[in-house]
Amino acid sequence: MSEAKQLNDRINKIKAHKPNPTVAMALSILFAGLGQIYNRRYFKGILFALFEIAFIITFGEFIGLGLWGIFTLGEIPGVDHSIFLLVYGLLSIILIVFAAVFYIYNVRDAKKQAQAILDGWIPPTFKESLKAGYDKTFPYLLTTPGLLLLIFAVVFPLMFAISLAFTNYNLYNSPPRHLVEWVGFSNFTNLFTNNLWRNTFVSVFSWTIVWTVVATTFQITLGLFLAVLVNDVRVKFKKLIRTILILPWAVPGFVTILIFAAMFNDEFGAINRDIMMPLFGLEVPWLTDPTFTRMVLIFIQTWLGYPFVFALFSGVLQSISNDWYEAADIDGASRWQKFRFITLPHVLFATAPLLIIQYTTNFNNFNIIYLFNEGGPAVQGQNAGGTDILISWVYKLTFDTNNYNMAAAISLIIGLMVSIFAIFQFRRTAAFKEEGKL
Amino acid sequence: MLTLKKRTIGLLLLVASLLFIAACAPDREEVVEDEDRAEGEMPEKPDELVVWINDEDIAEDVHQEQFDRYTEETGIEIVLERIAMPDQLEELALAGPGGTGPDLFFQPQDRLGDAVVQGLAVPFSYTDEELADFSDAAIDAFTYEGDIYGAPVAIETYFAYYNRSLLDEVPETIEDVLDMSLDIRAEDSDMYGFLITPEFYYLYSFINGYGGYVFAEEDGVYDPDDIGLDSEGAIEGMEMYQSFITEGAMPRTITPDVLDGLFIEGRAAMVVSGPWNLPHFREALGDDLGTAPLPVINNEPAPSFVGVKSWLVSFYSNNQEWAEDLAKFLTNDENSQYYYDITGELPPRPDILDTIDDPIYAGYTEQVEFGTPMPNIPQMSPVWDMDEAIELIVNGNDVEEVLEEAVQNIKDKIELQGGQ
Repeated sequence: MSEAKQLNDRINKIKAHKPNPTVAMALSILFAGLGQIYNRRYFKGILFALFEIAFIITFGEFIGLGLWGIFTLGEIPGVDHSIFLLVYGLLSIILIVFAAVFYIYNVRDAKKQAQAILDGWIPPTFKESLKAGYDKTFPYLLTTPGLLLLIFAVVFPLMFAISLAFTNYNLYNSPPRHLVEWVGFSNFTNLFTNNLWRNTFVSVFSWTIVWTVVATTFQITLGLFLAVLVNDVRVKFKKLIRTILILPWAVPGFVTILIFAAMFNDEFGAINRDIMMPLFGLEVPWLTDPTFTRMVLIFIQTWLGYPFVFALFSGVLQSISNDWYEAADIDGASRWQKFRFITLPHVLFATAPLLIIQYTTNFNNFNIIYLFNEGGPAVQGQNAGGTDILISWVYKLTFDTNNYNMAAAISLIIGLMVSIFAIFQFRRTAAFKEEGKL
Repeated sequence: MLTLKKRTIGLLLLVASLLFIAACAPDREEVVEDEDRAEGEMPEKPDELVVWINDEDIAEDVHQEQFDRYTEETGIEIVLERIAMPDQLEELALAGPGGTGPDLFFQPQDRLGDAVVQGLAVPFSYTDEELADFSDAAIDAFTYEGDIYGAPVAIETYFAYYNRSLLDEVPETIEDVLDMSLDIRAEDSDMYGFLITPEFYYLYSFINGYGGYVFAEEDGVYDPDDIGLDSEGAIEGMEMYQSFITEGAMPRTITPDVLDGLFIEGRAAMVVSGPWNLPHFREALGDDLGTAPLPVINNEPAPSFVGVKSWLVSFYSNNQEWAEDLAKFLTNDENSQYYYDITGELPPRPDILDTIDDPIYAGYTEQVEFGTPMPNIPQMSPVWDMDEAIELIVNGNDVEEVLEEAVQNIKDKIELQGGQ
C-alpha cells in the first residue's frame, strides 16, 4: 500500500465518524477521557482516564480526610490534631483545584474536538499532536516548576495564616490536649470591641502610622537636602563627601542599632553620661519613657535610611540637564523657584515608586523596633510595648504568648494595608513607564 | 419559579456535600487501654527510647553514663539527642505528631504549665515510698492540677554568700542586716554591706516573708484570679526593701553583673545570689567565702523561689511506661549522686542533701528547705513584669500605688492571653 492510500483511508475513516458534541461533553463529565475515546482520540482518552484513576487512587483518601478535617478540625481531643487536619484540608483544596482545572480542560476539549471533527477537521496523528503540543506549551512547561513552587511556598502558607485568623488557636486551645475550632470573625470583632485589645490595637496602629510617615519622610527629606547640597557646583571634594555620607549604609543595620541602643542606655549610655549629665545636668529616660524612645527610634531610622535616598537622588540630580537652570536664570528665577519647579519635580517623578517602597519597608521595619528596645518600654493597660509596631506586636503575640489566632488576624490586616500600598505603587510605576515613552 | 429551582438545587448540593464530608470522617479504632495487663505490670520492652537532653557538653557527659547504666540493666538502647532546653516544647509540638519526637524530655518547672495546657506531657504514677525520697518543694513544682508530671533532677535557689574577712558573724535577721550595712557604709562609702538584685525573682523573699503571694494556691492548684502581690504583706515587704535604698544601705542601680563584680572585688560583705556563682566566688575569695541561708524576715526563715528541672514523658511516646521507668531510674539515689558529683547541681533528694558535707554548700542546702516553687501555670509569664514595678519602687515611688498598678497590669495581660 502506498503512503497516499494509507492517508486517504485514514481520512475516510475519520470522516465516516460523526461525533455528537453534547454526547462527547457528557461522557467526559462522567469520566475524564471517555469523550475523547468517543471522538476516537484513543490515546489521549486513555491517558486522561488513567490520569483520573491515578489521581483518585493516590489522593482520594487523603482528600477525604483533608476535607473532613478542615470542616470539623477534629472531633476527639488527643487523637485528632486540629492544626495538622487544617493543613491536610488546605492541601486537599489545592489538589482539588488542580483536578478541577484538568477536568474542565478535559470536558471542553471533548466538546471542542467533537465539534471540530463534525466541521471536517482532520485530527493529527499522535506523533504530530505531541510535537504541536510541545511547541505550543513550551513556555508553560518552563514556568510550571516555578508555579508549583509559588503555590506551595507562598499561596499555601498564606492560606494557612488566613485560616488561623478565623480559629481560636491559642495556648489554651492547643492540640494535642484540645481541639481548635472555627470561630468566624470573632477575632476581628474582639480586636475592635474588647477594651484591652482595642486599646492596644489603636495605640499600636496609630504609632505604626506615625512611625512610618515621620521616620520615612525624615529620611527622604534629609537625603534630598544632602544630595542637593553636595550636588552644588561650588562644593569641592564631592567624591569624598559622598563616600562619607553613604557610610551609615555600609555598616550592617543591626550593628548600628545595637550600638545606638547601648549609647542611649539610661544609666550607662554615653549620651546620658557624657553629654546630657555634664552639660545639662539631666538624665533623659531614653529607654524607659515611650515618648523619648519613639523620638530616638525616628532619629536612628533617619540615620539608617537617608544614605539610600541620598545615593538615589544624587544620581537623578546629575541627569537634570543644565539647560533648564540656564533658561530659568535668564527668566530671572530665584534659587527657591529653581528648586521648586525644576529639581523637585524631576527628582520625585523619577523616584516615586522607590520612595513608596521606603514607606512600606518602614511600615514593617521589625529589626529596628525589636533590636533597639524590644518594643519597650511596657505601657499600662495594653499587651504591647510603647514602641511596638504592628509587625513586632504580631511577633510577640506568636512567640511570647502563643496567641496565634490574634497574631494571624493582625497579620491579615497588615497584609491588606501593604497590598493597598503595593497596588498604588504598581500603578505609579506603570504611569511612569507610559510617560517615559514620550 | 427559576429562583426556587436554583435554591432547591443549592440546598441539595449543600446537603450532598455535608453528607460527603461526614462520610469522609476517618474510621478510628476506639482508643482502648490494654485491659488484659494486670496492674503495675509493664508492657513489652521497646528496643530503644529517645531522650532529649539539654544542649550542653556536661549534660551529654553525665546523661550518657546514666543511659549506659540503664541499657546494661534492661537492655533497652537509649538514643540521646541534644536540643536546647528553651526550644524543646516548641520542637516537641512539631516532632511529636510526626512520630520523630522523644519519649523523654527535659524542662524547668516554669514551662510545665505550657506543656500540660497543650497536653504535651503525661502524668507519672508514683508510689508513696517513691515520693518520700524527693523533697516536697520539688514535687510541688511538678504538680499541676493535682497530677505529678515529672521526675525532678535538680533543684536550685538563691541564698546568701558572705565574705568572712568583712563580716565577723553572719547577721541573723533582716533588721540586723540593715544595721550591719549601715555600719559598713558609714565607715567607708566605697564599701557595701548587703546587696540583692532588684528583680522580682530575688525580692520575692521580702514579699513572701510578710505574707504576700503570687497566686493563691490550694492542694497544688493555683488560682490565677487571686493575685496577692498587692496584699498588705507584699506592701510591707517591699517597704522593708525600700528602706534599704532610702537609708542609703544599697545603691539604686544594681545589676547581677555589678553585684558579682563588687563581691568578687571584696567591696561587698554579703550578697544574695545563686549556685551558678559558687565556682567564681570561690576562685576569687578562697577560704573567705561562706554561705548561709537568707536572713530571717518577719521572724521566719526567709522563703525563696526554687527552680526545679525534671524529666517529662512525652504524650506522643509509644512507650510511656518505659519512659517513666527510665525517668525514675535516672533520678534514683545512685544516679542523682552521680549527677551531683559531675555537675555540682543539687538533686532534690533529702538523703543526698544530708550527705553533702562540703561546708560551702551549707547555705544552699539549708535554703532549699525554705523554698517555694515558682508557680508553674502559664499565667506566670506576665507576673515577671513585676520587675518594672520594682524599678519604680527603687526610684522612691509609693509602694502601695506601684504594686496596685502592677497587679492590675498583670491581670489585664492574663486576660489577653485568652485563657479560661
